[in-house]
Amino acid sequence: MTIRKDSDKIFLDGRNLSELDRFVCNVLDIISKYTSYVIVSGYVAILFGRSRSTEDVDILIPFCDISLFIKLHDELLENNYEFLNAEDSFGLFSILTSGSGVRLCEKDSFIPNIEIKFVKNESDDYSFQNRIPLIIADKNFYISPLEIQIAYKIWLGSEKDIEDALFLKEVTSDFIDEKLLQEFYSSFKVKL
Amino acid sequence: MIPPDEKHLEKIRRDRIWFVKKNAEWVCSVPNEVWSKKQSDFINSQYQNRNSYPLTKIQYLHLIETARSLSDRRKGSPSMPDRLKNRMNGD
Repeated sequence: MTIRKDSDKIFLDGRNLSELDRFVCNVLDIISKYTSYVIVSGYVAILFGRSRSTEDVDILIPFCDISLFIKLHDELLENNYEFLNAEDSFGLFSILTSGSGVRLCEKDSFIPNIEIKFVKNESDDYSFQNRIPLIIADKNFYISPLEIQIAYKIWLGSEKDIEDALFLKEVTSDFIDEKLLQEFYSSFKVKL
Repeated sequence: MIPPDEKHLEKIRRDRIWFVKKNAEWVCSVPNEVWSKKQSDFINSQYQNRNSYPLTKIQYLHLIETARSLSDRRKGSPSMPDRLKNRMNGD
């Protein structure tokens, strides 16, 4: 694996995009017209080569007002996407404001899907404010900082989360701020 | 059915961790073109079968909610380092 860093950007030159990556890119192209986002959780490990697929990709967006959400919702529907939650745009917005996620997929094909949530706590906010542009095949993926991602996955505690954290730490070790990672470990009361 | 004992589960955990480390080692040792080709072949084969999922949308959402409620995965948010909390508050 070759990871290249240029100022604040990370490049994975020559990495092939899978159908899952293309699905995510296409959705993010639309979302980016309306709001910023950050990718969190398992898909970050997949972007860096973890040998697994996923049914859902988790992204966080900042709180927005309902008029902006309706515009985003409408454009997604015009582009042949749909929300799994059986709600109209007002109902979906209400789910988001309650702190839960809404799931977006290609019409009539609910796997894979993208779970969208509003930024709602300090760790979400840190991931969002410090998101990192990961460039693959000229596509931008804004990902959560690796240090919090690794520590947070360990904190979540399922076997899959710990394996994702371990993988991510192993393959990105040259690019991790070890002091910052230790700070997260200590604060989250975890250790790999 | 008798569930596997703790010793056996621990062995499975260790084997999986071993595999993750070996896989990470291999990913680090080959060019991006190589690991990503293998990865995308694997993911694409699952992607092509995405419409064969034997559940309806409603059943799928119910499955996720049930799995989440039964999961021993932590919920909520861990406590952030003080230094970064202060930064977020603009101090």
